[in-house]
Amino acid sequence: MTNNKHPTIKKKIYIILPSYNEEKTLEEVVEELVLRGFNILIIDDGSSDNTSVIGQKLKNKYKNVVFYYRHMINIGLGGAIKTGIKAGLEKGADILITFDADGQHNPDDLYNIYPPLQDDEADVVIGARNFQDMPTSRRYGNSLMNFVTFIFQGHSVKDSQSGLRGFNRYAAESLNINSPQYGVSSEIIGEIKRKNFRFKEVPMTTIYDEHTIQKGTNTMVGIKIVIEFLNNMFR
Amino acid sequence: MLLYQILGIIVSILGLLFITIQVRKEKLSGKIYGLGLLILAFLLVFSSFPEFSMELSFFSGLDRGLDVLIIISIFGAYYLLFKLYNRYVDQKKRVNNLVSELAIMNEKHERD
Repeated sequence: MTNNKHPTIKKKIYIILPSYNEEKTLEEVVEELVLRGFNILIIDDGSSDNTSVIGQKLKNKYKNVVFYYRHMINIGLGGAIKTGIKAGLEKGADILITFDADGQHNPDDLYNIYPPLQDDEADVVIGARNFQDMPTSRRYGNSLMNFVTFIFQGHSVKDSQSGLRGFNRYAAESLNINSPQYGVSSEIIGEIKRKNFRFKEVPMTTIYDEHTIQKGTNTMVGIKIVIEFLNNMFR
Repeated sequence: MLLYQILGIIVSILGLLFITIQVRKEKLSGKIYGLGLLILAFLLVFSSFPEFSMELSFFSGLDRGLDVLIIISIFGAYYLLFKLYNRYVDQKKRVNNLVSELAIMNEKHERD
């Protein structure tokens, strides 16, 4: 289902929306995605605000298009993505795409993500942000994380911390995610190299506002990711 | 013999008995038993023959045997901390997997 300007959706595509306290943006994000013809898996990661109420409402409004899963406790982004992948595979998804529920991603960028997966040109497609469009602190932080990812995961990419990632069924089934929190982004880059997935990076836009800047990988989270990688090396 | 030596010998013998009983009841793994044996054997030897630490200090290049023991203990403590942290991480992973499975089960249940 699409209009003439956008690539036709030929396969079963599920969008995984990890959501933690996203009551302000969840409804708008889901509505935009449903409008474009995608199936949605809302993964509520133990939210303490009205995310669960909104998630249930959307599930009831868009039956068999929007599905809602709730973690009883907060287990982190990695855990939410794992749940989303498991749920999507059980529903027979051909393509799974992770998408931010905080309004940081432009839904139109999905038109770059799924075509290479549909046309079997790649197993994994990741959106790469233009670092020049980022606030300065985020630009340096993300550049540093690219370097850290290269050191610990052995693979260099343009944007290792991008949350817009598409997987075909084969890649989703083969992925082995262990990192519970934000380290999952770098871990996925490592899995691409370890499992020899066909990989493509496509351009994407990023929307930065006060709400989205507060979330994501800041200095403390970056330090925790490095400690996690070091610990895994010596286990 | 000084008081600390007597206490050290008593603690190490009791400790050896305790971990041996635990491993017979299969409440302790072989690896942990071996580590426990090593630590308690150290305690027994240095409590009984404190002058032995001077031999160690000769090999390590440090002046006092006590310094050698302190440094070994610090490294040992860091190692145990590292092992404990990894046990915590493994348990957390199990809890996370459970939370994930429950979320999927509940959604299926609500749908049906």
